[in-house]
Amino acid sequence: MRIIWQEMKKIFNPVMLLILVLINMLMYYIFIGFDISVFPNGRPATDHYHIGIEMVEKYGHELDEKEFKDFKEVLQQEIKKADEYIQSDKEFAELGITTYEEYREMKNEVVRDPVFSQLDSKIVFDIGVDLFWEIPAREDIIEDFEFVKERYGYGYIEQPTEDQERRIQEVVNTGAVNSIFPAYPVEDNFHSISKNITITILVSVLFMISPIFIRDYKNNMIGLQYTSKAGRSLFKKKVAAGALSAFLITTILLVVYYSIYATNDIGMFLASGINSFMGTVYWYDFTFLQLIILTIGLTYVLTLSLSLVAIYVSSICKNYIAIIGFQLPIFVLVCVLIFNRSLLSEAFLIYSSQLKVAVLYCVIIISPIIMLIWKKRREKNQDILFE
Amino acid sequence: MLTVNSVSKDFGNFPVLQDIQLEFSNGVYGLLAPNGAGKTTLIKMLTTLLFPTKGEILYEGQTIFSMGERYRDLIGYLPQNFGYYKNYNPNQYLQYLAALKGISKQAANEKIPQLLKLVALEDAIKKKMGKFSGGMIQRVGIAQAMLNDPKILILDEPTAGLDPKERVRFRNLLSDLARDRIVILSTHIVSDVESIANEIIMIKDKRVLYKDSIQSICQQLDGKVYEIEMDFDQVKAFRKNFLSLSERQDNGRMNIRFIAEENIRPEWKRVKPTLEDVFLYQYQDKEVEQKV
Repeated sequence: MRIIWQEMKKIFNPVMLLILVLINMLMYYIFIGFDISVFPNGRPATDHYHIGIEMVEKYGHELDEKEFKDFKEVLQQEIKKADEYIQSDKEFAELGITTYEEYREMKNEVVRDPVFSQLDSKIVFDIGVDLFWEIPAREDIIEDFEFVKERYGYGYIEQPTEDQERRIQEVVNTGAVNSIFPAYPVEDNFHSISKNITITILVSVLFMISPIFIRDYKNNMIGLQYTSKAGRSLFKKKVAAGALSAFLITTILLVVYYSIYATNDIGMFLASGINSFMGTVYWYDFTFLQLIILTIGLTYVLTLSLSLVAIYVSSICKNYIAIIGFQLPIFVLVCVLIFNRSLLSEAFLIYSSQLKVAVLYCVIIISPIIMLIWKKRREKNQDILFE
Repeated sequence: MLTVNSVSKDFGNFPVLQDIQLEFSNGVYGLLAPNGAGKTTLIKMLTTLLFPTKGEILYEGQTIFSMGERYRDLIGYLPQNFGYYKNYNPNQYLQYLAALKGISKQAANEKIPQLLKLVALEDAIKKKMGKFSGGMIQRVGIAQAMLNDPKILILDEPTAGLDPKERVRFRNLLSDLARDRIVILSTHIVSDVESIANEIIMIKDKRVLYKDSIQSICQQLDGKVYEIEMDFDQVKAFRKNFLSLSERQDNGRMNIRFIAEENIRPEWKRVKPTLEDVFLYQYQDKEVEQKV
């Protein structure tokens, strides 16, 4: 254990730690910060978010028929308020608009009256009257709930397979679909930020772990290390030190970034099911909290696997350029897989093949283990050449 | 007893050492050969870094590779270009190596200040090694080799970077240590081993040329080493015919030490051969060999 601790002390040297902090500040500024500072990201996202909160507070995490009627009643009250607003406004009166219904009809016309368009823009964008944002948002939610049997899930797949069809029907028939979970913007924001957090952690882990062997090679330490009592078993201990360090870095950064994410105020949706009429279909019946935990687990899998690859690459390379040459394509490939929704939480959406996801994770987990076992066995009977 | 039994080492198809047969018991052994003769390869095999292509190396009758960490626990090794971390101080560096050598934290805490005192670095214990001179680094290297109180101490060019005073101190230290352990000192600097080695091992043409006491090795040149004084203008012609071992100016004339095997002249003064004479004689260029 002392050797592992000593190796970890080398990994966490102060200069590397300082650079790590700078890298994370930069990555936060470029990638993660946006999903924190602008959440829920303008309108109507903000309205969907606030209505979602209101619904959870009023109805709990699921919406039943009685609650749905109440929700529709709230809409009618909002429309009445909008009618009163319109009737008290001179500019609407000049255009002959007296109700919200008339306003909506004019808004839906293909060729709009330019004076109306100007007024609409003023009310909606310049003044930003909440009613004129909230009513369409509530109408969208009502429409999604009313047509759940006809439309739910099909918006994302043109021609569902038998399994996809079965899954959609299962979510609808079991009532899981009644979950109150504003996928837009809460789920979208989570997908985006979790991807950026994972990539930031991957960069951090690769930066810290990659020098693990090459640092000793460059410093001419191999001769002393391999003639010590530890000898060739040092390889195993270095792998353990690297994996443990990667785990530590991942844990610290996850705590930091998910604590920052918590400031987005999404706590009230944690117990909501993710298969909601307000959003998308997943292959599994998770709550939002379970989805977050699963994503964190997958982040660990990715960072630990890539750290093992980094350890292997460090053990076979003789200079830092070679390390970058080996690692960059692997890192880019993982980023591409993350962004094309094959690895993190989006991998469990109905349009992702679960077989593909399983195969990908098997490759990601097993490959570095095979590489390291091969390297360890080879080293056991191999000359140690270091000059 | 450490035994090298008919060991050969090839790198690919290129043989570096052939049929090496050696035995070591307690004492200092000087492994003497010019650069590139295979000294470091032999040492790397003795320290388990390299596997012999043929033959075996035994310690107390057991092959060192099957002994594994039991054998490595017995050795202290100072490589020719040993490494260190510039941001470590000697204490951190020795603590790291103590961990690799399986020395307990408590034992390391006791041993490290003693060793640093022994190599006169007790005042530099908190200084970063990146700021050390070559001599200071070498002294830390010597300290690390002795950290586990090794039964076999293997030193590859250990005096590189040491000033004359440090060299003398180091030689005395080795003499003390060799009482109850095997010390193998690889060098191409003859004076390093001349005063302390019990036996000298010379490697030539991939094989062991000698493994004997200095006295016995020097005997082979008995009656062949001479000195002569001559004018400067005669030196060039003299060099064409004889192997000059050393040349020094003395009162406006040149004093030349050389080897001659025949046509001995009365004006030549016969002198006692030294180890350096044997070294130069054995490792002379092919061209010079013909002169002799």
